[in-house]
Amino acid sequence: MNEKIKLVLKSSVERADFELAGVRLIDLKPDQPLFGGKGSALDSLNLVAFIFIIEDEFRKITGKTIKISTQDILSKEECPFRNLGTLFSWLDKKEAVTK
Amino acid sequence: MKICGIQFIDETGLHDEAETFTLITELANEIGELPPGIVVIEADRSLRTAVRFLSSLHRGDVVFMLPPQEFRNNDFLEYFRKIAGPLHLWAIDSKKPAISREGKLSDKLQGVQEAFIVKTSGTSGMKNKFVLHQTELFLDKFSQRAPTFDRTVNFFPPDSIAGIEILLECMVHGKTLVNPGLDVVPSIVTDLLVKEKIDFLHVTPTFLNLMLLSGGLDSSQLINVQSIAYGSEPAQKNILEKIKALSPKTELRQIYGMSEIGLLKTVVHSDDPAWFQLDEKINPWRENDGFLEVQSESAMVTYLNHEKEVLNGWFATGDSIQVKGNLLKVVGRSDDVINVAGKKFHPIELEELLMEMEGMDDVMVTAEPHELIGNSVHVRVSSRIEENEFRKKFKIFLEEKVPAWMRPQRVIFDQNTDVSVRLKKRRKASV
Repeated sequence: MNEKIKLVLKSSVERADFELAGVRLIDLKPDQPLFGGKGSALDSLNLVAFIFIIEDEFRKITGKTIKISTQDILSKEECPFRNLGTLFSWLDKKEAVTK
Repeated sequence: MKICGIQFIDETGLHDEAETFTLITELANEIGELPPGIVVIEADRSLRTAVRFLSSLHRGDVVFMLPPQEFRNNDFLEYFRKIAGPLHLWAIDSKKPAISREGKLSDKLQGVQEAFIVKTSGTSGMKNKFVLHQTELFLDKFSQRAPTFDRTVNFFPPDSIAGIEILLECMVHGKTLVNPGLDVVPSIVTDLLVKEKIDFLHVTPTFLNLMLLSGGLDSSQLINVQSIAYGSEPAQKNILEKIKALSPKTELRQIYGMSEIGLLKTVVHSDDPAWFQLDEKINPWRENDGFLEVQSESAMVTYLNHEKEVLNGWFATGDSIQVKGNLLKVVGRSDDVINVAGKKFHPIELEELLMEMEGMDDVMVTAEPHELIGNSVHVRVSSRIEENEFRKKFKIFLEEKVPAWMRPQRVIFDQNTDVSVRLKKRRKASV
């Protein structure tokens, strides 16, 4: 388990709940829909705001800068933002290849 | 066309109409005959520039005033020469314009006399439109409106439509123009209000805000000021309310104007000075798809480098408006609309909404292109409230008062208490 990425995700979720209007992610289970599925926790406007938060937290915690392109992630066969579990795996891989 | 003298006050004192008229006519004679072309004046706020401009019009020339920075920009001059034709350049330190025969006079300027050119504002000189005005048509409107002031500050740059309009209005109505000097800063203008008994102040809302923030503006400085006009950008309600609180008797006037149509007469709504009414007898107007269209007899003749944006006498201003009965409010330009997932709004609409939040000292809204939602909304806020406490309240405010599509995707918090000036400057720089 990549502890840094776990922390990135935890801080991002806490910040999103604290700052974003109409968002509550803290009780979301790893396989519950985050974005794109029925009953998703985020709409497209909040997804963009959440991505800004993840980029910030990723930089703060790992010291690495990532730019998350929504076009890239949404065109993938399996969207990394489908749920928190898929997001963790995707960020984990992203961290490994980011200098 | 009758050009007369103008009353002008500068650091050397008062120059009355007789004195300046003599300067104008003598200079007009001294210049001698010029081949076809445009007289380009390196312009500052001095009496010398005003005299050069008026004497050139008196001679029947086509005149184009430029600030020193652009006057000395050869790339820009070459670009303009290709559009307009030979340029007789009149530098600040030259007694006469330097005659030029380079280039062919634009077809649009053939036979044109007693005219002036202004360029539309913009961030890049090469993207400006060059607007041709016939002076006689332009002056006509002053005969339709009674003088509303006695003394005013020469605030706007001399090459801008507002600067030219105020100069010509002072000339037609025999009123006095007071030169604030080279650096137009809030403290100087504030001092002039009392020293020169200024009864009409026409500035931008940002400058009004700067005058308030500099701390020098109080009710005693506004004692002579009958009327304050503001234009060039949408005005925030809180700035106008502060002025109204300082001097309830001072009339606040929204000036609506553009390089193409000049400044139009308006009447401001008494409860909210951001709303105004145009004189429909002089300037019929209509809303077309959210944008303002007006008619004006003193509108430009043509653009030198662009197709005229007039259809059946209606000029499309490009200004987005809100309408309430016969009142209107400018909320922004077509090019600063924020488009979030197909929903459109102007920065000032969100700024005004957010300013209603308790503890909000200042706010600036900008947008960045976003591949998924069109624009992402970025908000920079300033508050004296501690950041975490502020963010908690801000989230509740957004949920209760702000439509989902106007909610910012990124919020930057600034604890400083006096950032208004900085925020405004940054937004202007980012547009």
